[in-house]
Amino acid sequence: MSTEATAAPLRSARGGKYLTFALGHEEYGLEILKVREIIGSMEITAVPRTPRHVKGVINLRGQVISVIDLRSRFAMEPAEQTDETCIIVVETSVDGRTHNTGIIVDRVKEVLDISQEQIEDAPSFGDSVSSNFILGMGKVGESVKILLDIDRVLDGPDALTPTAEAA
Amino acid sequence: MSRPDQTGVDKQLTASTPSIEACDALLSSIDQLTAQLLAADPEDLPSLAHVHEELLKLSAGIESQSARTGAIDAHKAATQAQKLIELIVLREVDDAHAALQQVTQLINDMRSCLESSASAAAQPSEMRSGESRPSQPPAAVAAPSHASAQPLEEAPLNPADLPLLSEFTEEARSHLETAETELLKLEDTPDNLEAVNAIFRAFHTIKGVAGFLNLRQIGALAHAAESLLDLVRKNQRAVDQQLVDVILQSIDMMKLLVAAGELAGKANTAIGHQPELPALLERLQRAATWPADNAVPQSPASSTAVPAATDHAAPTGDSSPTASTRRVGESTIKVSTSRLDSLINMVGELVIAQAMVNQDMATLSAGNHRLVRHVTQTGKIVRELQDLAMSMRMVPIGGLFQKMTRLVRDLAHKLGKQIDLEISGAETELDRNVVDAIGDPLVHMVRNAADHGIEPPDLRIAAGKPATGMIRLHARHEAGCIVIEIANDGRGLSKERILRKAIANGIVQPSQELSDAEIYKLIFHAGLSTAEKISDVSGRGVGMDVVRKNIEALRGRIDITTTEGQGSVFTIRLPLTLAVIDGLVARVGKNRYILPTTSIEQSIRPTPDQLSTVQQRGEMVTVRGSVLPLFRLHRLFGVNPASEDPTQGLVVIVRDNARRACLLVNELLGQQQVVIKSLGDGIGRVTGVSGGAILGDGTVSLILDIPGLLELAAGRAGDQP
Repeated sequence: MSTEATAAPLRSARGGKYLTFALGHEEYGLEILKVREIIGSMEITAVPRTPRHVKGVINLRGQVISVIDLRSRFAMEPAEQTDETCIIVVETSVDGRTHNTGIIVDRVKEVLDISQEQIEDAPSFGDSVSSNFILGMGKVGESVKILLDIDRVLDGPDALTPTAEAA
Repeated sequence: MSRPDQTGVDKQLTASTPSIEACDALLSSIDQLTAQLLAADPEDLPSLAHVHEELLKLSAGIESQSARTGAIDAHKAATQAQKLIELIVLREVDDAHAALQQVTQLINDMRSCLESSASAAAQPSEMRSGESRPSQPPAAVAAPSHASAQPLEEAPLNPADLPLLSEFTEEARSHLETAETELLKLEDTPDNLEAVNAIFRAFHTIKGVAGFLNLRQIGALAHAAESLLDLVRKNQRAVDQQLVDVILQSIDMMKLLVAAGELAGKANTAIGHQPELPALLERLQRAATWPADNAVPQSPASSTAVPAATDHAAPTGDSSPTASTRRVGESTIKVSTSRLDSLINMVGELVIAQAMVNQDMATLSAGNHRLVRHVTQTGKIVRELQDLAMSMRMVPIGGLFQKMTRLVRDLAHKLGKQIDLEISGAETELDRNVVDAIGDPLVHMVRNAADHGIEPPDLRIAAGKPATGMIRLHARHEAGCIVIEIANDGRGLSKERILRKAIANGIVQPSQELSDAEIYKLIFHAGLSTAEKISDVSGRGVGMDVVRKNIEALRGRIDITTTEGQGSVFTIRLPLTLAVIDGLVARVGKNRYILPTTSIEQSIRPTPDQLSTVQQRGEMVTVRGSVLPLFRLHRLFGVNPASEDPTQGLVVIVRDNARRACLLVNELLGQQQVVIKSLGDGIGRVTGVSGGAILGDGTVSLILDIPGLLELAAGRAGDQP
């Protein structure tokens, strides 16, 4: 999957503040401007006949929002729910309408300033890993944060995981 | 369009009695205007537009005072000030600040002219304050004569104007709606000058803003329509059918152009060229220069129209101050629907939070009377707040009914019938979303009533009925619903014809026994039209089934009562709001689902001998003699039930039109009203689920969509082992 052309406009302004979180041992970053709030895990109402990574819906102060399990979205092993498991509510916009979606992560780390120079393009992993939802790799000290293009993660045209119905 | 509308004001002096109050009202609006001007900035287009509009009203007011000495000069000053503002807005003056000052000066002149006339009112004479003549406006105003033959070149829109444009389209639409209503009034009462003025104002405002935004086609059309109407205002043109028709066409064209403008604004292109426009402009011009043909006796020579001038001066003089006071009195503000929705959401959340506090209070603090009292009081306020929030989305149905007036008029013309439309209950309020959704079905039904229901005049007379048919639209509230009735005194539904047609089309079997109500309901079947011939109005048999679908989508229902030869009444019952439904909360395993009460017939706990199977898998329940398929909700949704045994659970009999089925759930927890929420864009449409609702404990529960669920079950039934 070639993303060279489509990812190009993003490349110019990738530096900025990122909220980092962990899935297992991997660390990811989300543009802070897309993050609306972080809430503790709560009871999620499952919605039948939706893709497996859609965990269901929750009540966010009167608004019903869908919740995505990021591990399942990335086809990672499911993890036990802990006290640190939480839901990051992100705001994305599709066709000019903004909407909120919750994403379940193992634990939230910190907000980091990552400058343009610290960010490199994602290397090509071949067919085994889809990289078109990665904005870039942020190098902070010794560690590498995977910076996510959350709009693509949520609405990406290609399914990253098989849906429940196909399964 | 920089051409001012009243360049050649050539009013004849008439000997009407001057009205001091009207003059005072004018003076005070002049004072207000001066204050606004002092604060105005040449860059601030909206406020300039407002000043312009005020000036227009003023000059209309002054015109009605034309009997007065001094009024002519005041009117000239007002016209000049208007022109100047137009120039400032169009950036055609070098020094906008100086020009603004000039406007202020002109308005001062205007005031002094009027004042001097007021003091002279006691002794009306030809004593004019002629030499206080205000300074000349820049020469650039010499309006290029309006050449409709040339195509009107549209420039691409200036991106900076886009916010103005969306405001304009919205306002233009409401102006056009007013104009349409007033025009239809005018058609019935051709001497209604107030209506003429209202239509004129609508076009004039549109013209003004179109000028700022450089929308040439809109401007040209508004200008032509306005010029024609101006002749009517000046009594140089009578109101006749030709005029009403051409103005109606202009309104329609304007709607098209406004819609095109909106699209162009979004796409950031120029408005597309409307091929029909030049012809329409020409018709407008012809209508203006054609007073003699259909002349009403007093119309052609305005110079002698002394009595006419006096009796129209009175209403206009009155109407302009009342119009401005009415504006103040209403004092509404526009709020975007998304804000309103989030307010309603927040209030909904507050209600839930309050319910939780209430629950805690009951268990934790029994005996603390102070606390109980306060919490109860809070609860009362919260409920009132909720009622208020819900009422904010309510709008009267009148606007929608008003549109039908136009429809009936056009249909009557087209079909050669005489039809009156009677509207009652226009003030009945319902949810804005329902109003939007009911529009199309209502158009269908009214169209049907006019086309099929009402007979041609000769048949009506032969049947001993008045030649003019009657369609009645009535709305009222009834038991938490809104009821809309569409009645006509036409030929009514013919049972035999419907039945014959239905049998011919294979919708029913000849052997089937149907009750009257069932026969009438057949007209909602797709493919059944009893109209003898297909017209371009209706008769294709697609309308009524769409009507029924739309109404059912709104969780409403439609009933028919009819007497052959005397007419029919279609009664639509709709919930007041789409936001709240009555539902039964059912539990399946740990999951709670809400079943809309309207789709539920009854619930039973089946006994083993009621259960049977087909080929050992299709399960059935026999309820009072009818055999219904049994679907297990947990299987459809892939969740774990508390028990698989139907005799341990409950079977809910649900209905989607004629289809009935049983749904197996573990238990029913109770009935409650819930607020429907969308599941969010992230999930999209889920078959069998129509939305989510937040229950008292703050968790989300899914609302079941029974028709979808039955389809799902039907599709699954085959592939399930």
